[in-house]
Amino acid sequence: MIRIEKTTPKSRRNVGFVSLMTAILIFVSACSSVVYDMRLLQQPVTMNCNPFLNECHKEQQLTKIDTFMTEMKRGLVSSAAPTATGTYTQSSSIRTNPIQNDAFLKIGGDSTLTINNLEVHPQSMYVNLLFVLGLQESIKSYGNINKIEKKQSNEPKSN
Amino acid sequence: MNRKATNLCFIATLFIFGLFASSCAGVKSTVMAPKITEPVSYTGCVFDKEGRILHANEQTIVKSFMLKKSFWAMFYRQISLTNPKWDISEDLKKQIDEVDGNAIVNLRVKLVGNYGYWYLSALVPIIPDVQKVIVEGDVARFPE
Repeated sequence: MIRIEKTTPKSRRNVGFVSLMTAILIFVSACSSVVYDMRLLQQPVTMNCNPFLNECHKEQQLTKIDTFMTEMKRGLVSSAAPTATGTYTQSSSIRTNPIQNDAFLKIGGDSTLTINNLEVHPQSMYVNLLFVLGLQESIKSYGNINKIEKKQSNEPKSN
Repeated sequence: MNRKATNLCFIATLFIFGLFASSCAGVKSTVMAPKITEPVSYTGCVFDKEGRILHANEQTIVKSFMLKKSFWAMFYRQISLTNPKWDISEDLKKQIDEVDGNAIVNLRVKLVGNYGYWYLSALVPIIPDVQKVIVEGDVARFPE
């Protein structure tokens, strides 16, 4: 009886192992990021309540006139379905960055307007249902739009 | 007997669903700085005492900094394993005091996610999820 043994050469096994480890490392270390960046705007937009240097705003006061809300987000949905000849995979992604546009539409061009108390809320949501994968990463922000006005003096005028 | 078996199946189904729901599906966090008195601007601008806009440039920016924090949560973001509110007032004040600055400008907030980790943690129950938040900015010293 002739016995045939299938043996894989060592070099082919090593190549297979290295390729698998590389794929795993790439998958594990792949990152995604969302950045909340307003540096192109040429007016003060502050995280805290004070947009003035050294609290030297004894001559100025801030009057709230509106609220401000904007969101920067990134999403991805990927699904796979079996077909007669193989697998059909579909992916769709979305990335929006309206934060600077939204801020400019509210206060752009008017140097007496500013946004303050702008807190940011980074959040992420992931779903893995084996055949459907979804992720959404977003940074929402909420703040107040203020008008700068000169404080009226209460001192009586002397003649 | 049938009723008991049905109840057991129902409880087992709820338990398995709860296990999968308690695996990661995201994290929530908040970054704020309510206690600091110096202006913390997302742009390169602040106001002076007369309400005029001052723009930061290479001469006024004295230092760049980066703050990082990781947030953990599970059960579809409902159970936060770390404090979801991050008050950076003290950290920013420390950066300003180190170089005798008077404002923070060009503030950016970055949310970093990891594909491999969320794929695994969304699939396997009881593994909490993590997200890293990075805050970057510059310390400015405007002339008074």
